[in-house]
Amino acid sequence: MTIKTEWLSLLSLAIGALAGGTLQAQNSQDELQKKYEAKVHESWYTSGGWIDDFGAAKERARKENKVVFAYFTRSYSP
Amino acid sequence: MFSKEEFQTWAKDNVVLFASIMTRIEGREDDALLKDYGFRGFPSMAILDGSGDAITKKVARELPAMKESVAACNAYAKTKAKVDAGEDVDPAEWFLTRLALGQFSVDEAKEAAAELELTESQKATYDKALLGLELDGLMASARNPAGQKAAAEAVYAFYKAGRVPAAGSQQESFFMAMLGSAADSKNDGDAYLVAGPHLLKQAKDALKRIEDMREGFKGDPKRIEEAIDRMKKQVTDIEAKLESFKKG
Repeated sequence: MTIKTEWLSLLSLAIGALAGGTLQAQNSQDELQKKYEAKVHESWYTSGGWIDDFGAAKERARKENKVVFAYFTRSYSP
Repeated sequence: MFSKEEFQTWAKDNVVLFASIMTRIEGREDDALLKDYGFRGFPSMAILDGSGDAITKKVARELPAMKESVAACNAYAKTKAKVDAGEDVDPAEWFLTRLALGQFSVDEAKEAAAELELTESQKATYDKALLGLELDGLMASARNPAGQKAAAEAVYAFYKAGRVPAAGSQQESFFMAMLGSAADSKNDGDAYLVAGPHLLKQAKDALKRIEDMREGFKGDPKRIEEAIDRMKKQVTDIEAKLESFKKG
């Protein structure tokens, strides 16, 4: 293999790896979005009247003269 | 607990329910909010005021104690707003409000109370809250047999002095467990008859939880059956002790 051919092969591999990595990252972000959406459709959340917007929660607390009951959880992992 | 109707009905009238969900989605605002409050793991709970400041990060998991905690937080938020606005507030009431939220150590609470003129009603509230702080300290130290023995002795002394925690409070279960242990070792029937019914309820509740785990348990079924047998024996032992002390 000539130097130029070898260089082109390495460049192709690098571009392939980058494209594959970017695709993997996008799939991962998509997966995270799906997990988040599944979380906010769980029955405890939907039937309980929970909100997950911090600004909106604080504003509602001020308007209704109530405290905020903050529950810290995650969706990316069980 | 959040799925239970009792919680949802109470929450609707008393709090704004905010779920801070960490998603790891890039660019999402407030995604790691729990770190701002010094939490390291999930799940965690806190009661915040309308500015997002934490009023308490110690939130009970049982509903009766949780309601008590939120009521204390509501009282704190309202009084703090008055203090911040420069309005006159009763220093004793402000002290008791902050005490209820664990904002003093035992020594700090005693020092502050000594400077105030508390009414009889306020003294009773102060003593219950002080006992709660003392029990919190004992709970933290009761992590080994020696600590548990010392805690049992301390709780027995509280009981003999007529100091018992409020029914449904966060510390009640611990108090009764320690009192039961001390009463058993001292053969004090009267004390055991106070603690025993609580211990029996706790054991029966624990037995039911383990039995409910049978369905869907993916491990070795022998392990769950052994746990059930141990808990059944605990229930029987407590019942026998109660019967024996009742007969005198």
